[in-house]
Amino acid sequence: MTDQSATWQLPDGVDELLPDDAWRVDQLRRQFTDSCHSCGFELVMPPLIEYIDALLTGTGEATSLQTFKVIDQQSGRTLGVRADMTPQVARLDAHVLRQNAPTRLCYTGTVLRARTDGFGGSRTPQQFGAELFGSAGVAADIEMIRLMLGTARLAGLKDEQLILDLGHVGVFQGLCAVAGLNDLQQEQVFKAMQLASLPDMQQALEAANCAPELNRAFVSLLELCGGVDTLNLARTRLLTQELRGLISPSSDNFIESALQTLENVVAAVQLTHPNIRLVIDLTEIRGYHYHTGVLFAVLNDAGAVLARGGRYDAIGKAFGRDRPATGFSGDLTQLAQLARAAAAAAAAAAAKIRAGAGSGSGSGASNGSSAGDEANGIFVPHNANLTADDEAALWLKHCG
Amino acid sequence: LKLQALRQSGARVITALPGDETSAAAFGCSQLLTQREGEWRVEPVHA
Repeated sequence: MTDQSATWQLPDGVDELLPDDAWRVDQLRRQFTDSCHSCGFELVMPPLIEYIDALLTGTGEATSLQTFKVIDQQSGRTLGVRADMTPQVARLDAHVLRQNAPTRLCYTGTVLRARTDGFGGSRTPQQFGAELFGSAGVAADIEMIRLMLGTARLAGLKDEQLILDLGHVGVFQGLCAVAGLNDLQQEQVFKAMQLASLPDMQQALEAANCAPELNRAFVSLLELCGGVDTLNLARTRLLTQELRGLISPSSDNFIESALQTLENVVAAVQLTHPNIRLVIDLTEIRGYHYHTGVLFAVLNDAGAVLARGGRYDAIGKAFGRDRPATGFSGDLTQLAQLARAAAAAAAAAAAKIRAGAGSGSGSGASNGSSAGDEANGIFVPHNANLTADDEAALWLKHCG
Repeated sequence: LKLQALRQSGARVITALPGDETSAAAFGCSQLLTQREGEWRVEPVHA
């Protein structure tokens, strides 16, 4: 016998939004695209499903594992449901739009993931994102970071409630290049970095037979996470005379250039967002196979990620047109939920202050107040005696 | 702040990136935000 209660159950990580939340998410979507439009971004709508070969071009194994694959009954070929819209947008830039000028594109849409990212994570995020193609300079990264921070503001979060996390894969990649690590050795050092494990790092470095100066640099990388001062500390620890001696004078000093980029980003963000908390995290090198430069993420004060992104100059190459690229994305549903929680916390704190001050209003925070149920509509009672002329006048008055 | 104010008033404002020679018209812009005597002014592209 079938368990009737299980019939209506949704799969793990698959969400549905009721009116209240659905309105909020859609309002945020409209605000995001309006904001992108005002900054010169064009809107694109890539397809939900594509041939798997095209969908996974330029992506890594992680995206492949996250992609639902189905057989197309019409062509017999394998299709993939998008797990991330960013590579689709990169394909549009490289293959379809083919502009030489910098191209600014934004997008929103549901993506489907085969697995949840973590406990309670959604498998059907409403992805929002923006990408800037064709500009390799730090100014493009700064433009994208400002747009990302503006999106958190749209959700009602204030700069004081936000953390901007900045990193750069160039530091790790630079050290690997100086050490001459092969792919396997890089992977082992990368895993140790991800685990923030000193013993694993020492073991990986020992296996790679690195010079002592490089061992010290890799180990110190594990500690390079903190405030803006971390950049000075990084310069002291990573740009030593010994290490400089190992870098070929003809080759670029990736480490120095990465630190300089981060310093430029910090200065620009402090100019426009002086109240935001900045964290420099050189230990965070997520997606270092995919990213090629600065990494950025905006988090709330509890550490939940609202949006994240970075520079990924190599993706265009996979589509046959090498173009620099930088951008970010996030989940509208999660952003709306976190913003709502922050607003509720602020309202509760304000009510506490009012109660403490003895205002006696007794209003407090309104529990049910939200975008969907605000009592601000106009109700027209049914009137059976309304003539056609009256009805026409009514429509012209309120809707004309 | 000027950029933010213009955008909030409904204008579409695109900032040129260093090294990019694309014209304002190619981005669909008919006006320029230029600094004259320390003041930012919105002027027609052909001025």
